[in-house]
Amino acid sequence: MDLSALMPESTLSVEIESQTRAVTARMDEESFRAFYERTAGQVWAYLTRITGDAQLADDLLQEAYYRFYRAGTPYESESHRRNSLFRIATNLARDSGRRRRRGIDVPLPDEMDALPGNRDAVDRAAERTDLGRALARLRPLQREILWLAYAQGSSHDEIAGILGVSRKSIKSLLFRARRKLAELLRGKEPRRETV
Amino acid sequence: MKPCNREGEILKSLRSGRFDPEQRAHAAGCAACTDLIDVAAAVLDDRRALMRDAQLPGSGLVWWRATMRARQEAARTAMRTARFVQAVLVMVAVAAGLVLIDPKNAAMDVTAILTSMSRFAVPIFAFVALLILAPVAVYFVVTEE
Repeated sequence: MDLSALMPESTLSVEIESQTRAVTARMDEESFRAFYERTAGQVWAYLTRITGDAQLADDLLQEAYYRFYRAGTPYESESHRRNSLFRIATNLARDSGRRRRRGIDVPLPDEMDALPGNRDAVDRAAERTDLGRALARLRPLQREILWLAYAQGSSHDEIAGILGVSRKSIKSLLFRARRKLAELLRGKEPRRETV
Repeated sequence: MKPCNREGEILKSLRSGRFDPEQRAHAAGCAACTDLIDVAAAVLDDRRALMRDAQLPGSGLVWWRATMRARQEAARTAMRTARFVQAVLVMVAVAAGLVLIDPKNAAMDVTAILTSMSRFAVPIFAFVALLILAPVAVYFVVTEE
């Protein structure tokens, strides 16, 4: 028996409307779209590098914006809003990594198909592949910290908030991650980490 | 190797693309700053390239999908709550009916039935109150979720 049929249609639709209004009132279309235009590229690049999978990053990007929109939290500032979005993206990437439970394959960038005559494009693509491979050999937390610190230019406080780790540990985590990535980029095998 | 206390300053110059000769000289002799420059420059360059090549869905499409999905979820929540309240109401109605309908009194007139019902004034009042208050309760549950 479909009990919902007993509920007056008008009452139900009023309830749905009222809840939808409550959700959409949190962020209007104009501000959402403007915020998306400002941040989507950054979030996608972050997701691509921390997951090592551009296709997965496409999916996670849309999910991240949906959850951000759905959360509807009032924000003090643009950076607060942006950090909240990166926190959502980080959690999605971590959940996805836990689900996959396998090593990360770094896809070759599209530029590898560039014409042989275009040396700059090929060299650039090769450098990016090197970085992608090197990043893939780091722990997820190390990739996240390095990207937030150097690509996003986030402060230690912001990184701690986004990644959910203590502020005190950021400095040493960042130093070790940087050391390891620098060695990998120079083609050296990084020393085994003690921590 | 230990962190260098000039890392913040070096990173700032790297990000702005304005290195002075003194900073270059320092970086050349400092292992920590050399690591910093190698890593930060590679990461920044990679970010620029990724962002340049990114093929992202339009903001209008993302907005539309988000609002549609939010609306669908709101509808699902409202339906779930409504079904729960309705199930409770139906159970109460069935229970009240079973108590009130006594086969032995089937031939009684209306006055006798009303007299019989007065014995159940409290549960009947509660049932009517539930019928009136249920939609209000559903409204608050749904809007506050």
